[in-house]
Amino acid sequence: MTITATIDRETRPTPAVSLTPGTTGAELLLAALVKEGVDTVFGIPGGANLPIYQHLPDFPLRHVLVRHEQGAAHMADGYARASGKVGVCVATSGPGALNLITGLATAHFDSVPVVAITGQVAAASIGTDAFQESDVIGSSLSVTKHSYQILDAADIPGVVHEAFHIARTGRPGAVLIDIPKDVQQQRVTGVAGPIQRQRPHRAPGRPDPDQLIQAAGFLAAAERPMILAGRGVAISGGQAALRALAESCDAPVGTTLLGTGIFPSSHPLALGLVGFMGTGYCNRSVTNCDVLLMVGMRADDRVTCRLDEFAPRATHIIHINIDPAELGKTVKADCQIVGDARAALEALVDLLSSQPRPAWRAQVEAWRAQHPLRHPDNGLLQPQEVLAACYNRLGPDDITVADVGLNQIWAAVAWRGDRPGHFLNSGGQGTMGFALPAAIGAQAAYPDRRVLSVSGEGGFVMTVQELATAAESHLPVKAVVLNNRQLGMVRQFQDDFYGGVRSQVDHLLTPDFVMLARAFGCFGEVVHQSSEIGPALDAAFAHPGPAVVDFQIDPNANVYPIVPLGKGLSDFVECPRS
Amino acid sequence: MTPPAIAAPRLAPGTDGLTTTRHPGRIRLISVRVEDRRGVLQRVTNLLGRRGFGIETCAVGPSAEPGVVAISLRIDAGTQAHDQIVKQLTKLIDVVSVDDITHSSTVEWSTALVDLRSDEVDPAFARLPSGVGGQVVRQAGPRTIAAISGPPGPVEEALAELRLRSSSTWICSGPLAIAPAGGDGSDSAPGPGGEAS
Repeated sequence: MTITATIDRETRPTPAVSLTPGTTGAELLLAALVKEGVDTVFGIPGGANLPIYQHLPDFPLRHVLVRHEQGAAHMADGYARASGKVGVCVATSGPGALNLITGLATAHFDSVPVVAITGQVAAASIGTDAFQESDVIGSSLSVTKHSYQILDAADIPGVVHEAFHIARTGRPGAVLIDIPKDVQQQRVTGVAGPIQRQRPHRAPGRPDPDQLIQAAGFLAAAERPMILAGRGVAISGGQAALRALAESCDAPVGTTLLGTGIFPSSHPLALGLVGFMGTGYCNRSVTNCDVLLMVGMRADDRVTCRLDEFAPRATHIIHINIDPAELGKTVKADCQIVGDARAALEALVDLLSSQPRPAWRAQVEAWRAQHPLRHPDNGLLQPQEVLAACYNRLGPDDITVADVGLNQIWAAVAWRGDRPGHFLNSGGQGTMGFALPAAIGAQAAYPDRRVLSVSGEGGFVMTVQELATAAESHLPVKAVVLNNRQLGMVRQFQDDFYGGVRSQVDHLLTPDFVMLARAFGCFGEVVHQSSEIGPALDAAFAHPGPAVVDFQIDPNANVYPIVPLGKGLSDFVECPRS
Repeated sequence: MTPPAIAAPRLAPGTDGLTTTRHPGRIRLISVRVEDRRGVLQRVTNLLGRRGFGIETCAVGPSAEPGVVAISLRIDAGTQAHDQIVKQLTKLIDVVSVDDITHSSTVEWSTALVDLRSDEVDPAFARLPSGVGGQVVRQAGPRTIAAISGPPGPVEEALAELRLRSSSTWICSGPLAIAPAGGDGSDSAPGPGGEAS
């Protein structure tokens, strides 16, 4: 197996890009990345970015050579979600650039700061349908916060600096920089200054004090307050304030998929996941609360389900988001506060005094007892027991990345962590194939932590080629495949909502994942029954490199509770009693 | 059996190229100032399209401020919450400001260039609605190019009349719109965080 040496950052030379008449655009780019604090980039060289790769070895940047550009974007995303820093991916023009799009959309929808750098055909060839030309600016407009096409190398430092600022400031997102090959090769004699704007990009200021006072008044007067929280709380570092507010108000807390981990799962006020596949007691509480506070979340259709039945008994809804466009977009909150989640939560904590609400708490606990999470006990391997065994082997710093589908909900609901940034998943786009490359990215950010990728076999094979990246780059992620030989969530939908017609959901041929893992230089194991779970996981974690464990789970395992399509949150259906 | 009556050919509402009477309750007049950068118009129009807003007219040109381009948009908000127009456009990095000036003391002005037979000019000018001015821009033998301008509604009335009664072809700008400085501004859209009126 080919092994690329990992970079010892202590011994690599500091980049000395002194601007000489010979300095190229590619060197300016690489120096600018280092200046922004980048240590790792994920990418693939190709015709239109070769000048960048020519100079890459001269800079203290670790390059992770991926096998598909979508993997590069997901890795940059996973790196960013885990570390809080900006993730960087690099692709060539044409198909290379277009292959990034799914990954950029995944990051952007979940407010993850990622900067993509794409090569482009020479400036004079743009618009001529040249070989490997693609309009990546046009193609990426809807999945980026901003984008640039640089036509003069002198602009590169200013553009890179602004791109990173935009990616991480306010509501974070994806930014793309497209650089024609001849601009990468252009020799500069001077550089342009920072980009001057009439309206510089900056985060919103402090939340409006009057609105905060109004919100505090609503919460103080509430008999049945409820808090829903999303990833914005994690981005702002507001989890301590969230906990303080919840305890002060005696308000139960539900979280979105992306908010998994922002409120300690063991806390008595924790109600877990809200929404379409949320816990019954969380959805029941949202339906019956009289004041609802939503913070750092969008309230999309997977959270609200049927909009006109969302929080129908709430006399006041308070919505806090850093992005004004998310306020009033779906749920029409009567108190809409623009601003940083942490700042708003801390202000509310200061405005409110502790107020126990025993009657409300007792009611919530009654719902918790009435609607416990259940799964079948039929002798077949259940995903919940697999996940419990996985999580038991993780420490508080370790990271789990879920894919999309049934596995994602099982993994999120079973998650027992108490800090954000340790359970990652694709919430907004729901991109199958996300978990493995995003886990590789997270592992690159934290080489010493255990990083677990949890997928179904459907999503796993969508980006399985990145096992080669993991093995080659010494990124020892452990891939858990919850293998039901089906597109499981689609199958459950067909069973429950589409007349029971199972159409094109069975994987009649799934790979032998043990052989597949070995083919990529990874450890592989298969598990058929409960007694094999522990030994297989221990062997996988003992292996120094990446590993794949194929868990042959109950093919009919479903997610419960689930809200039938078109229904309200309180109409959830629970697991039939076995 | 009586043969079915054949209706006179009619243009379906909203397909006659004239805009002021279509879904009047859904129409928003948006004034956008943007940085003068390549591709900025694509960013604005792409965003509106993908968010479900139809652009009825779009007038673009330089503004009094160097480096800033002014865009006057007449937008069919459809069934979308129209405050999203301002909120989403404000998120574009190259956008300097966005105002919903639908209900303010906004002044709108449209201009059309009309190509018609020279002998049709005087009767056409005689029929121009109040508030619409006409002038001959160039006369070349049997054909004349005239300019007519005025508030968008009357200008569109004039163009409809020209279509019926003359051999004209014409091109009309989307309305330029400006909310007078120092106007009451009471019903203009607030910036981020507020509800558009």
